[in-house]
Amino acid sequence: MLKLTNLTKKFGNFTAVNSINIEINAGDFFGFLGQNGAGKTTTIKMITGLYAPTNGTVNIGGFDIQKNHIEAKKLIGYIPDQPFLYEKLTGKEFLFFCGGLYKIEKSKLKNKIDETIDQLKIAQWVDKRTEEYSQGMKQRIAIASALLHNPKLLVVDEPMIGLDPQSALVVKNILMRKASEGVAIFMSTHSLNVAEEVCSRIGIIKDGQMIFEDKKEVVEQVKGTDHLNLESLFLHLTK
Amino acid sequence: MNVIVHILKFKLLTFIKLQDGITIKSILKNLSASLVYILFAIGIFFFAKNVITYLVQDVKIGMFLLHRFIFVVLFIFFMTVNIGNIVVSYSTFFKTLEVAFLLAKPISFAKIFLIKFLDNFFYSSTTLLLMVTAALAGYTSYLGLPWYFVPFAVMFLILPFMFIAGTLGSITLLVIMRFAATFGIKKVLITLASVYASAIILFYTFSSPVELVTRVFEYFPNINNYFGFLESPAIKLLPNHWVADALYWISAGKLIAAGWYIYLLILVSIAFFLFALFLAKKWFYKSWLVFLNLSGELSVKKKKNYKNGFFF
Repeated sequence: MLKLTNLTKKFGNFTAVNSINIEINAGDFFGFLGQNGAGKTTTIKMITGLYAPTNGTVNIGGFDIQKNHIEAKKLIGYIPDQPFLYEKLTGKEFLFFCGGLYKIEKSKLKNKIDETIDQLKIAQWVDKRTEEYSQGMKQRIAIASALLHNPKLLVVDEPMIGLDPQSALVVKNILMRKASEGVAIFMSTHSLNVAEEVCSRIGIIKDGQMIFEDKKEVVEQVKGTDHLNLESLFLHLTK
Repeated sequence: MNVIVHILKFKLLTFIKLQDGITIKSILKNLSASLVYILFAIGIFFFAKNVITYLVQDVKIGMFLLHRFIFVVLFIFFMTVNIGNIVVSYSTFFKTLEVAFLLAKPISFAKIFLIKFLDNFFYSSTTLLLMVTAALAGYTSYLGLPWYFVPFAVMFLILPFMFIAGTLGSITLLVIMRFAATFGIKKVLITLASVYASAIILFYTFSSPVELVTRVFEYFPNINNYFGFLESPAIKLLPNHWVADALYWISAGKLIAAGWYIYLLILVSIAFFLFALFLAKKWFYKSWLVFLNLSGELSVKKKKNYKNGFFF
């Protein structure tokens, strides 16, 4: 579903992402870990088409994001770390707005919005203006808006930032459910606990280069031999 | 097209919602803002009317030179709208979170440009439009034209004129960003500033107001006619000349002659707009990437400077 081939991004002489190769299939839940400035967000922005790679390609469901961006973007649900919402709209109006961008039929969209509101437990405040929302509420609306068109690939940038434990649980559950339904998930996170709990594959990026990438079972084996937990492994690899 | 209508519908909803929520505070705020504008508009109305009265009745420059004076004022106005649009476009096209949000959706780049261009044009030009409307009302009042001439002139003369200036601003920005990738932003900005300075110098060289006044007064007031033959043909290609001439012919009661300029203004504004869309289709995303690269490089430099400062 997602294939990154020799993906590289340079800003002048500085290489932010250096020849990354990742392939994620339907149902994979890929946790993308790294320190601040390691290149996680730059990679995500290349995947979503917000940045163009200096070298390499991003292929989504058979479409190159640079060559056929509209078809590729139809398959993506993108949840940025800083969600953008129209502040004067209510959460529900914003969901109708986002659904319309994917040209979803009105009656289907209405049903989908109701279903998503239920899944994300946002019914109590979805009719309030988004300017009144907390960070957690905004994040949940952003997640809801990214799910409306049944994306085949979810790209999630730091989903747990600013979330209270209850919101974090809801978000974790919905992402896990989507993965079990066959959606490929690419999630960058600082939260090693979350990555350990929900991801089926882990990748670690340092100074723009992938220094570790494998299935969770392999991570468990490595942990079992040399390290107590993922945090210890992560600190060892990124030191 | 459906996507554009969909986005505009929700943007309109956002705009309308800005106005609701009736509280004493919001009523007072809106009343004070309206009062300030009304007083300002009244000031512009009387200023415009008095200036025209002074020029026509005291200085006795005649209607032709009055409209050449309007022509020069409109040139300044054109440049203001144009440069204003370049500056504001930079912010609305590249720096707002909304653009990143729309770019991550399956929407063509030309459509995103269109949405942001309309945003930009109406937000940045509204105040100027209100000022011009008040001045136009002063002009209408002096000439004794019917009141509905004001909305008519705003719709068919001023708006297309401003639209040309605004579109040219956005086109200029796309060109700046496109060439900044090849030649560097500093060189492009210096070249652009030189082009604008040359345009202003050329405008005053070709229009040569002092020479025109001298030559017109060889005929006027004995012959009170249209003295367009005394002007350089080059300045007749400028949209501010079309507006000034349209106003001249309307004031002379020759509506068919004015109609030609209205037609020309609308046609050229549509042509400029279509050209901007064509350019946006090719360059908007590239411009966006240039902006990101410039920001990225700046951020890397800042980090390096910070590190150097920290250790030394």
